[in-house]
Amino acid sequence: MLNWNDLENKKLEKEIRMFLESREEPVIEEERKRQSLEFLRLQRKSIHITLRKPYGQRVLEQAAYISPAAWVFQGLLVLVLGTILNTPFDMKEIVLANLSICAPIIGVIGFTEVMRSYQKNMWELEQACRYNLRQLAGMRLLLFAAADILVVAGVMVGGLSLGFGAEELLLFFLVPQLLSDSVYLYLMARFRRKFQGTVLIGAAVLMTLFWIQISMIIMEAPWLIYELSRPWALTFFIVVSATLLTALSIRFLHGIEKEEEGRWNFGWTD
Amino acid sequence: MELRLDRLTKQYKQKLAVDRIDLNLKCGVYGLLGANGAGKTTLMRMLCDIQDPTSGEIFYNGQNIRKMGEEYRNILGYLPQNFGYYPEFTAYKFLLYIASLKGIGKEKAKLRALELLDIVGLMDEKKRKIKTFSGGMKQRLGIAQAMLNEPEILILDEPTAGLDPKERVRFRNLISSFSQNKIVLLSTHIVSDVEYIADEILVMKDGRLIHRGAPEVITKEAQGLVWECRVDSKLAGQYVEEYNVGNLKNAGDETILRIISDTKPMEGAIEAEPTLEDLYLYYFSEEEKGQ
Repeated sequence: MLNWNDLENKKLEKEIRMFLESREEPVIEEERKRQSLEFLRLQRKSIHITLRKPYGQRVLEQAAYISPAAWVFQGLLVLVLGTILNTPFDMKEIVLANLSICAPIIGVIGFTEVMRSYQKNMWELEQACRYNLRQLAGMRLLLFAAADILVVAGVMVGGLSLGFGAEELLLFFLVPQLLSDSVYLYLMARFRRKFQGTVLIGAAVLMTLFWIQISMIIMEAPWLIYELSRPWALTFFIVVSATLLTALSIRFLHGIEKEEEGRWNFGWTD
Repeated sequence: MELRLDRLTKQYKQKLAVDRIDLNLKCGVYGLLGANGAGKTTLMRMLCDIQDPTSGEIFYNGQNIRKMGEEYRNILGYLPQNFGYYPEFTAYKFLLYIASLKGIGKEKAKLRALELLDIVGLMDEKKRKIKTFSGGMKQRLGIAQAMLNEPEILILDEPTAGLDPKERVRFRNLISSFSQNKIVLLSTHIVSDVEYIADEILVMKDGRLIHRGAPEVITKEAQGLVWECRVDSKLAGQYVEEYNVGNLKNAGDETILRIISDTKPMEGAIEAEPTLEDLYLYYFSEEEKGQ
């Protein structure tokens, strides 16, 4: 059933058609045509296909390109941490020690992803893009920092609900994680592309062994847990380790374009 | 549109890779010819702002590209000599990923990726993982990613290395079709890659630009340097060792040698019309022998 608007539109269309049919086609002069095309070409040139994206949008976009394996391992780690936390409470010291042991592993997942550009030989392509390798590494660090914050928050919430003290969780999980990540970043800035794959895993194993030793020392002297968990001591450890991590992140990102300055050819033939 | 290199130099600890290169590039296709180790890749990496020069500067339309930074990379397309990929990526996802790094909006990126996959003949393979691709397919994908942001400057480093002749011809045709209103710099040590499509040839040796000109013009430089000689097939091997032989063709008991030499190599040698390949061999015979 036609409505009033449809009738109006049809009438308008008819009027336009009659008007166009009554007009003569303009004569297209070649020079005018050439000028118009040139004008269009210049206008088209001024509209670039790229646009400036807000930083947050760029970070979120990159999340879609993180390897699925990284998220799977992250998920597995969360399951392992959950299992550790659910160990019977009378083995509290063992639970805390196990949290310290797992803390260095978290960084392996994130930093392996950060260094993937070198591992998969994509770094040259990425470095030549508008948002280059430094920006990409920064975005990946941010994504995994956010993921790690969620993991820490999860451990805190889970641990608190199971009767652990906040200061114990911070001392045995957050501080080892921050310090381990700082060590990785230092080594990444120092050794660059060589610090990936088995080398990174090797460093994680060493850090794990280190935290096992520290945990054993602390467990043998329970008064240490009390002293180190004091607010001033804990705040000191957290502030120092967080500051160290931030400074080393900046150092790593700052130096990312200075790679290979002294090394001819990056190993290629020309 | 002008890319100007001002006394560009790159010194590594043991090697001077690029030695005070002065160059002005305007719209057109430039073939950068040189043997392995000539400095082509180092030069291209500096042009792509991947490496900092030891000294000298690069200007685009009068602006220093290092100061331009992101603005310069925005109008740049680069295909490295060896590039990798993330193994879980399909061809389509790879282009979307690079598009995200190039700052292309999501919807435009999807359209542009499909458009380029069609142009390079990979539309049917768009959902296949790159690790299953042949060398030629990877190179085509590589040129597609370089074109994503409609670059004004296109830098291709040995884009046809490892491709069969049919793929190389296809690649050349692709470059030609993309090259309108752009500065295209294409490096190779395969002369035929650039002979037919380059407006200008740049010959690079030991970090320096030793020659520059249109292919037909610089080919004339080899006039009087190319000789054809008929020799006994049993002695052909000896002559190959002794002279710079560009081609060797068996003709029964005789072998026809194409020799590049400043002077007439032997009695009976006939001067031949030079090709660009002859000129290349004249400059790079020692390097090629070393390979």
